[in-house]
Amino acid sequence: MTSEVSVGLDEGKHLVQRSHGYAIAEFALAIPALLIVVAMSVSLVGLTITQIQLESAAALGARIVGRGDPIPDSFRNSLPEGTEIVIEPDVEAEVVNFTLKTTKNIGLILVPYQIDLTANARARLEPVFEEFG
Amino acid sequence: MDRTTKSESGQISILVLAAAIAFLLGTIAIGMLVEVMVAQQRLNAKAEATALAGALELEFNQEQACAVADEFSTTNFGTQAQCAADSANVAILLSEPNANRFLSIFLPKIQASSRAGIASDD
Repeated sequence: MTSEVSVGLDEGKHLVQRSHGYAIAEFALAIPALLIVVAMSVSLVGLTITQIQLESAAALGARIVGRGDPIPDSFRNSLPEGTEIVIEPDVEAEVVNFTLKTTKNIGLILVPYQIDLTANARARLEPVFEEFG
Repeated sequence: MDRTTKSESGQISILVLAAAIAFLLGTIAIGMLVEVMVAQQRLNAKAEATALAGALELEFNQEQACAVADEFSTTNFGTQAQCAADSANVAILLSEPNANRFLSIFLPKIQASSRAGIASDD
């Protein structure tokens, strides 16, 4: 006995709606949305790492400037690319304000978006003793 | 009529929606943790700077080391420091209320401690 599988209105037959394969089609449509959410999470992790790096570097930079030393190249090279260094010494208050600013691109290929990250640290200016002799 | 036909329509949508919500909730949770981590990092830097500011007084003005450290912390960071000093070291403990409303239930304060002193000749 053979059964003929068909879709459509044959004589005396009702329309048979087949829904097999819907899942695959829906999955294909939903993948981009899911990927966007995952990309957002990954971007957040990247932002966190950069922010913590900046905070740590700002504290170190303030300490270096507070001691009266110049900022070494190794310090500059360790910062994220394009980081701006702002040093504001306040001699009256005997403190130095050290700020790092950078811009991080977190957008997707089609939707570029940049976010500004800033870290600030302060250190007391150490007295500079002139060497005798 | 085919009564055994099983509709798959909507199954994956629900699954993907659930996954997206889980991801978003996870991202929000990570974001809150990150906020506390960055605040902790900042407080560590403040504690270090305060301890160093106090340690500068150790050599010639030891009695004032804690007062100077506390003044430095209050003036520059708006945080009062707990301080203990001896002839060679200044120990600082800073604490600030947790800025994150949700996590402040579990962790009402974040703390950072630091110690600075006179370097030995060795």
